[in-house]
Amino acid sequence: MTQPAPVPDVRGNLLSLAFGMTRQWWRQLLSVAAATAVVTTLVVGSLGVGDGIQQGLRRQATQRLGGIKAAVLSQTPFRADLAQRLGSALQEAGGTPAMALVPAGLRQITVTRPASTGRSRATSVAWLVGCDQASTLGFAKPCPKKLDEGVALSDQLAAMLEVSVGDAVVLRAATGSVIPSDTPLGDRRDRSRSRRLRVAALLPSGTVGDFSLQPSQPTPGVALVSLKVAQDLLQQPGRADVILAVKTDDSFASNASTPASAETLARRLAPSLADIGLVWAASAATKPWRLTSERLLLKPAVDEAAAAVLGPPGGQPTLVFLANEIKPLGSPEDVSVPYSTILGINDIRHPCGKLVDAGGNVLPSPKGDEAIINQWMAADFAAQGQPVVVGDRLRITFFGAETLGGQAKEETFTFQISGIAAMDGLAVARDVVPPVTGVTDEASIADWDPPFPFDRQRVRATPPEDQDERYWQKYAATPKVFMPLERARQLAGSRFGETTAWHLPPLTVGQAEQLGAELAAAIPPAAVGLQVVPVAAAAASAASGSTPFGLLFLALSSFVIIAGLILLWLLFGLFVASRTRTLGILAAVGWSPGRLASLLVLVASPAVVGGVAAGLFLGPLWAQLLLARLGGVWTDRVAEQTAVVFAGGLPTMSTLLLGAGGATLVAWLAVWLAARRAGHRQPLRLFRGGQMTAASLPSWCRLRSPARTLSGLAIRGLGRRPGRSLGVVAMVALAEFLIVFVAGFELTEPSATASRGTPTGGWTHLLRFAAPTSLNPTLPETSGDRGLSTVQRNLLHRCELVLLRSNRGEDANCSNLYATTRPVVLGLPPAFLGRGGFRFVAHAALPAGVHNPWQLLTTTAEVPEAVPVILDAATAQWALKLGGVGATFRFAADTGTILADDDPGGLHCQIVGLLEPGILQGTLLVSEAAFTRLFPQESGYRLAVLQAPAELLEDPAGRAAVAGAVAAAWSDCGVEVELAVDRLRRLFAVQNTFLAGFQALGTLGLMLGTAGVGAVAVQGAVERRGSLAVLQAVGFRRARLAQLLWLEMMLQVIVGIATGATLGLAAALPFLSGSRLGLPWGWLGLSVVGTLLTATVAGVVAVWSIAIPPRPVEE
Amino acid sequence: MTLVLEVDAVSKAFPTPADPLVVLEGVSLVAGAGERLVVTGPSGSGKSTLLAILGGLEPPTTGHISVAGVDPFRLSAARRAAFRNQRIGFVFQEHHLLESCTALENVLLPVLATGRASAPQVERARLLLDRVGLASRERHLPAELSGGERQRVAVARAVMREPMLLLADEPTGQLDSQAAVGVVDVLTSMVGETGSLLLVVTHDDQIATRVADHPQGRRLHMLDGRLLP
Repeated sequence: MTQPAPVPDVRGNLLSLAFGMTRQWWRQLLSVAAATAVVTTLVVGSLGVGDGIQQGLRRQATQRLGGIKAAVLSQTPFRADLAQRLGSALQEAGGTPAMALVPAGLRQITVTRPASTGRSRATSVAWLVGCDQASTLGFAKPCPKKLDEGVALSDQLAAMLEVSVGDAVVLRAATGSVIPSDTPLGDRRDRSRSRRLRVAALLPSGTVGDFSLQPSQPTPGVALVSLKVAQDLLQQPGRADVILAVKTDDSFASNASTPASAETLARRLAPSLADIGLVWAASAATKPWRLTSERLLLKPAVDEAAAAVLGPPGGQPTLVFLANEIKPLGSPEDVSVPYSTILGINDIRHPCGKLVDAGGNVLPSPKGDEAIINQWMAADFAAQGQPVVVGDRLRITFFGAETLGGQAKEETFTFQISGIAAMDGLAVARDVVPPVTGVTDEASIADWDPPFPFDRQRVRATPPEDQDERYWQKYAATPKVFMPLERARQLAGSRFGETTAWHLPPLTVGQAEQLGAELAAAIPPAAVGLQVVPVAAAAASAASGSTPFGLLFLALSSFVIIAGLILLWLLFGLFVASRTRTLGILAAVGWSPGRLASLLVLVASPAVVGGVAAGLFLGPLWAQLLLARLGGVWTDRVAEQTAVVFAGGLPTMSTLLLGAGGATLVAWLAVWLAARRAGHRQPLRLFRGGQMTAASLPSWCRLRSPARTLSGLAIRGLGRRPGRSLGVVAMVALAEFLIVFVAGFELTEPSATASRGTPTGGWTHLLRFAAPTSLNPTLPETSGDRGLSTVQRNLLHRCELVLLRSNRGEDANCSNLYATTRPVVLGLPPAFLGRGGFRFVAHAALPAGVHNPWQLLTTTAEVPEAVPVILDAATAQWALKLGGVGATFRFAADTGTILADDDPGGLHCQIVGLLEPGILQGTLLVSEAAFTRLFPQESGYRLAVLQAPAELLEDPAGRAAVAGAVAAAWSDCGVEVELAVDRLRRLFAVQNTFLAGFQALGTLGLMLGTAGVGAVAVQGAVERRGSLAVLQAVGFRRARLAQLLWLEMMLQVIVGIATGATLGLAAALPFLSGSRLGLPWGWLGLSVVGTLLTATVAGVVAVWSIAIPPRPVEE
Repeated sequence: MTLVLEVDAVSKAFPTPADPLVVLEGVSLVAGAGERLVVTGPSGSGKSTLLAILGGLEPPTTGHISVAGVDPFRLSAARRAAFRNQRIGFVFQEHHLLESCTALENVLLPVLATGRASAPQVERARLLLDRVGLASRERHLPAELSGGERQRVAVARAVMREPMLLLADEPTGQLDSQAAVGVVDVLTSMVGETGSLLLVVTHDDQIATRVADHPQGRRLHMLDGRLLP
């Protein structure tokens, strides 16, 4: 039996046939390789842009932090030796730490170049860095080792101030009281201290001059001084604001940049009571011990720890507050006792003494609305002709626990006298009142210099009416009224605390030290504003970018990539069309459609692989080109010193592989589709190049009336290869879509910024304060004592100003490329909300009768207990990725971070409105009440918006006058004034910078589209040489033939442009607003004209370059 | 009889790597309006080349021609195209219809060479289609017509401008005998109406006889590039 003949190696035959064809037709296949290279370049380049920006952000993060890996930050200054103690604790725990702990003063200040001959004054806000070991901070370049009494300025700051080494500058820092300015006893009169120093050195890039703990691009300047000079300037001797943990060897480098090492620091961080502003001391007189705070009120966390530690050994909390006036109910106007302290107590048997009556009997504890007055007050009312007895009611007038808009507001309360205490025991215990600068330290009551409105006329300080002065001299600020602690807390407690002191019976020094240590250990450092931040790890995380730029560019490039793929499909289709006879022969001899398609794919594969290889080389170059364009525009329009972010970097290997893999896949897909289409044609059709029937015609080609014009003939021509025509239309449409869609987002400065409905909200200036302030110099009552000229006062009185609360978050607006989860939160007072303004993209449904969407911030959110939030749509969508109206998120108030879904805790917030991009871009906007709920320890206002009269802003002199008046009014706290339109311009420039990059993509797409049009035109003409010859035979001149082909192309291009532009406009429309409907018609027109011109040239070239046979030939 | 065509000692040679290939040699011919000339001869005898020269598509190497007193090769390319459009009609062996255009549009093509088709011109195209028996197929694409029908459309297109000279190069070469007769009848009938000079090149004896059997018919023979009486 004979064996069947072996099956020939079909695959091998196919491969060798394909290889032979590739070799034969390699010139035609070059176009396929070129199109594949374009697609690969786009994919790799787009992903490479993301890599480049990330590398740039990391580079900048490294640059601004040097070797600093972690930082211990505090809301209030701590003792500088905490760094040493922390180091010792780490050493005890685990040997020698591989890190240096450097204490430093760190505060925002103003640096001024004084006026001199020929030069006016110049001021800039900068970071004061007070550090004796700046050279150990690990920056790339060394810095001056010894500054003594001089200051080193970062290059950019020196350039801004136009100063050089040897020049004098004035450093000014706010030195307000540590008592929260939002409480009546907090100092709201901005005070500052300044020092004139010589510039000892300049800090170029790469030194500590780049230092910033804030991960944002627009870095402020740095003024480096010795720690001692900083302490002196800030009036905080022996204290520091921050401890910087710096790597000292490589082992630390690998650990300390991780959050885990910051946790180690946090575990060993054991601040003393003094570090966190607490005073634990014995009264010199009676020897009871007392815990008080420099900020007057004990923070809730401290109070809680004190209750746990000091409560068991007999400690008692008290709350002291000041009554402006106390008078019997129904008494004549002039009967009163002014400015008396009131003490809230838990128990009549107080560690500082008891309250007893004249007979020495302990008085019953007051309850509810009862209170005990001291004998002096009873006698004084009697002397004023209004004797009071137990059971009588007295009315007290006092300032509310919190100020509103910097203004203390009086409230009243009526209580019933439950006892009259003899001037003994607790009634004469001065130490129950903690020290208050300007009050308790004054020699005479007449010398009081309190921060609240103080009516000296009320005080009886001059003999013979000097009762108050005599009381002051004998008892000082000792309380005259004693009420239940609970009631006192209701009246005077606030978010800042509701205890002014804890008192304990006399203790031995040993007992006291032990209790003090226990108490310090019981207070979580983070709860009192002392936290360890892994700055290096945070910077690395933030450097991932607010936006995945690689994917963003890839998404926008996708239109161009699709255009490139269509071009590839078309070119390969044209290649196939030119080989139909060969394919027809193969089909005729029995090749299946699938095998034909396989053959074509194999023939094209070397071209695809070659194209991908070329794209791998060109992609990084394309990325560099895009980055260079972005960097250039960024430098020009946003921030020069941060263009390093766009300094570029090569795509990573994974990006290259991903890009190459993706491009290969899509390119092969395009080739396969074209091959499959060709493979499935009937052999005869392949032979004849395809025949049309009415059924195969697209509907748009089936005209009811005959073509009577050249245009009609052109439309018929398009119907000859409808797929190809549609491909060209699609290419042009995609490019035009991208251009129009992107252009629709170009932000243009509104023409009428004074209007409230614009992105400025009608505000003309944005004011940022280096230190929180409560000052509003536009009010006549507060502008008087600011040392302003009459002109400046009058000018400010004509302005409208609203102070805004702000946390110490990070800018999340588009100028910050870093990813942030600690956004700036602004608390908007009722005046701002009532004024309204800005423009909403969307907002939640307004309650009945409410027309102002801003009022949604004061209404209850849909989610119970959630804080209503408004923010701009771009930040919600891109930077913070929070979602749209109705979306909820959780916010950790203590760290100021937006929590991830799986993080526990936090306060619920709900978005109730989304704004168009404006001057408040990048901030979370809540009501002032919600702000104080979110940030109970934040005091004062860090930001303000101001509306100056429009006529003042028309000329530079007027603008300078406004800026000058504002700078003078807030000279103590340091103010940065920015014109609202300038900020808008800067923010818009960011978006427009990226649009510039995307427009480059659109332009590339258009170039591809045009190339496609040209290629199709030429190939189409080649294919139709026979038909063209017929036309020529019947009398068509070459010019008319060119006109016919031109019309065919124009139809495709115009349809493509119209389709793309319409779709682009429709897609961009939801994001457009009334002020921005003006598309850049000029640019769009230019692109359209450019495309039409190119198509014209292609048409003419097509006709004149091909050899139309003198006689009709078979096509 | 109006003189339409004068051919004077026309020769045509194509350069080759060796000696030039002479396709036509000293061809002379005179014909007037209404005449029906048939040129027969074997393949490669130069019939189609002669037709291309007479149609102004290909210049002769030597000699000159005159159609209605005009030597088309002395005209500029543009004017020659216009001349061809106005004075000469073609029917090729392949129908050479534009596959994307309907039958009616293909007939209108000569009009579209110089401008838009007016309503009377469209009417005339319809009339011509009717005359060639395709009134009901005016909106059909070439692919939807038979070979004979396509060639009849080509005939209608050729006479659309009422040319003085109608050239037909193997107009029935790809048709069966029945269809071929139909096309020739249409062709001669149309020429009868327009008074054009008809010159048909064919190697089909039956067709040649059918054309030449007319009182104004004349049969010529070509051999090796020479025109024999």
